[in-house]
Amino acid sequence: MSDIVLTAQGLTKQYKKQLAVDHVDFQIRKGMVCGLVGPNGAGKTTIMKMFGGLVFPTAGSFSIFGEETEKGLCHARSRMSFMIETPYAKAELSARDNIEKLRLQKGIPDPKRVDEVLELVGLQDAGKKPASKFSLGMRQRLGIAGALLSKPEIMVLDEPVNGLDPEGIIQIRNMLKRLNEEEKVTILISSHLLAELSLLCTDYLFLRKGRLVQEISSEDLHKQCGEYYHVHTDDDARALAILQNKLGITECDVLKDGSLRIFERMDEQPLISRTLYENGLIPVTLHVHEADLESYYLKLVGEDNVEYSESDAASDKA
Amino acid sequence: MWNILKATLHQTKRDRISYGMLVFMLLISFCGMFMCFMDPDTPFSGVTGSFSFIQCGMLFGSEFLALCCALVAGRIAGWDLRDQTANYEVLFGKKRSAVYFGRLLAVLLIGLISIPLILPIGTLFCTVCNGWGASFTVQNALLHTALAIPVTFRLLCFFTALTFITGNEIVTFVSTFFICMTTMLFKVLGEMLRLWTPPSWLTASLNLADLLMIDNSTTELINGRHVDVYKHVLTSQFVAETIISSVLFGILWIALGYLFFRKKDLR
Repeated sequence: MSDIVLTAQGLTKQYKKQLAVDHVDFQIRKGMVCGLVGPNGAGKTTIMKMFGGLVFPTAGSFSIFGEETEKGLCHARSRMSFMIETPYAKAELSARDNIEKLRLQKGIPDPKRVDEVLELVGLQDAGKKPASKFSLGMRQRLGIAGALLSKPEIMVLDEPVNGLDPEGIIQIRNMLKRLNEEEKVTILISSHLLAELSLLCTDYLFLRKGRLVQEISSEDLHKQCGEYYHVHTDDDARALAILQNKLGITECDVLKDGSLRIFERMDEQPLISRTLYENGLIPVTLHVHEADLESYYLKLVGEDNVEYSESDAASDKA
Repeated sequence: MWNILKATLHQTKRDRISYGMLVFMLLISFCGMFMCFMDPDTPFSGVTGSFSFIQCGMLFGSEFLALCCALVAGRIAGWDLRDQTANYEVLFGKKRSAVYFGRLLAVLLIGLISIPLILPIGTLFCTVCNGWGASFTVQNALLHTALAIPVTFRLLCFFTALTFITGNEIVTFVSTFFICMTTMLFKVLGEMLRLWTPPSWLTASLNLADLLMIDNSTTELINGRHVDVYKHVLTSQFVAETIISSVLFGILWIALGYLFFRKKDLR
C-alpha cells in the first residue's frame, strides 16, 4: 500500500485575473512534517484551502489518501484536521462550548474528549469567558484544540503559532513533534517563522508567485543551510579525488560549476588546504559557508528574477 | 446533516442574540395590542382577542412577519457564515449539502416553532383579559394563522437561501425591508396605474397581506356596544394557491441557494 497521503497534480487556482496557484505538483508521504514556505501571496493558503474543499481548483487535481472523487474526499477529510487563516472560534461562546459544538459537528461520541483537548492546549481554566475576550494566542490554542479533537491522521496548519508567546510556541512545537513521532500524524504546516519551521519540518515546499520553486528534504536543506566548506580549485575533479583518497572525505557534493561542498572535518580547514597544496592544487576558494533557512529562503523565493541554482544558494562567510 | 443540526441547536441555545430575537418578536406581538389601547375610542375592555388579531394583522401583518423570518434565518444560517466557522464543517469533511441542509433544517425547526408560537401571544393575552369577542370568528382566525405557516416556510427558505448566497446575515436583514417595500410598491403602482397587478400568491408578502390584513368590516351592535365585525371568506382557490405556491417557491429557493453554495469558493 502506498504511503503517499496527499498529492497535487498540476494544481491551479485562478481568481479572476490573479493566478494564485500555478500548476503545482507534489506528494506528501505519511509521517512527514512538510513546511509550506513562501512570501505572502505565494499560494500557501490557497493550496491548503483546495485540500480542505473550501475553494475549487481551476485546473489540475489533488488526492487525499488516494481519494479524488467528491464523496471520497469528504470521507478523507474526516480523517484530517485543518486550521486555516482564522482559527476556529465562535466569539460569543466559551472555549468549552466552542469545542463541544465541534464535537457535535464531528459526531464524536465521547464528551470527555472536549476536556482532554482543552487540557492539552492549556485552556482548561478558560471558564465561561467568551472567545471574543481571548488573546490572539488563546484563540490559536482554541483552534489547535479543535484540530486535535478527532485524533487526525493529517493536520493542515496555516500559521499555527501566529500570536503565541515564546512559551506557547515551544508548547505547540513539542505537541506537534510528539504527535508526529508517537502517533505518526502527517503535518502540512505554513509559517513565517522560518527558524520555528526548521525545528519541526522533515520536508519543505518553497513557493513563489503560486509556483513550486523547490521541493527539498530537511536533510538536504540542512546540507545547503548548514556549515560546509566551499572548495574551488584549478582542477575540482582532481581535488575531489584527492580529498576522498587522502582524507577519506565522503560527505561532499559537486555543484553545477564544478566546485565542491564538504560537510565534514569542519575544524580542519588548514589540513584540507595543506593536502590540496601538497598535491599540486591551488585552492582558489576555500572557506566555511554558514547560512540559515532564512537566508536560503530569501535567495530562493524572496528576490524577483532569481532562478535557483545550488551555487546561488550559498551565502558565504569567509 | 444531523450533526450539523445538533451543533447549530447547541450554539443557538447559548446565543444571547437569538434570545434577543425572541424578545423582539414578543415585543412585536405586544406592540399590536398596545396600538389598540392607544385608540381613545376603544376602552381596554373593548380590546378583545379577535379585535387584537385584526389590529395586529393590519398593523404588522406582512412586513413584520417577514422581518421575523429574516431575523431567524439570518442569525441561524448567517452567523456561522459571517465568522467563517461554517468553513470548518467543510474542512471536517462534511458535504456541502450537509452544511446547507443541516442549517436549513435548524432554521425551519426554530422558525416554524418560535414564530407561530410567539407572534399570537399579544392576541392570547387580550383573549385572556377580555375574551375572544365578535370581531372575527375563531375558526377563521385559526385558518388564517394556519395558512400563514406555509408562507412562513416559504419566507424562511427564501431568507436562508439569500443568506447562503450573500454569506452575511446583515445583508439579509437589510434586504427584507427593500423586498417588502418593493413588492408593496409594485402592487400599489399596478393598481393606481391600472397596469398588471401581481397575484398575491406570487410573492410571499402579498400573500401574507391577503391573509393577515383583513379590511372587509361592518359595524354591528352587539350586547349594546358597536363592534367592528370583519368578514373574510377564504376561497378554496386562495387556500390551494397559498399552499401550493408556498411549497413550490420554498423548494425553488432551497434549490437556488444550494446550487449557488455547492460550487461557491468560501473565504
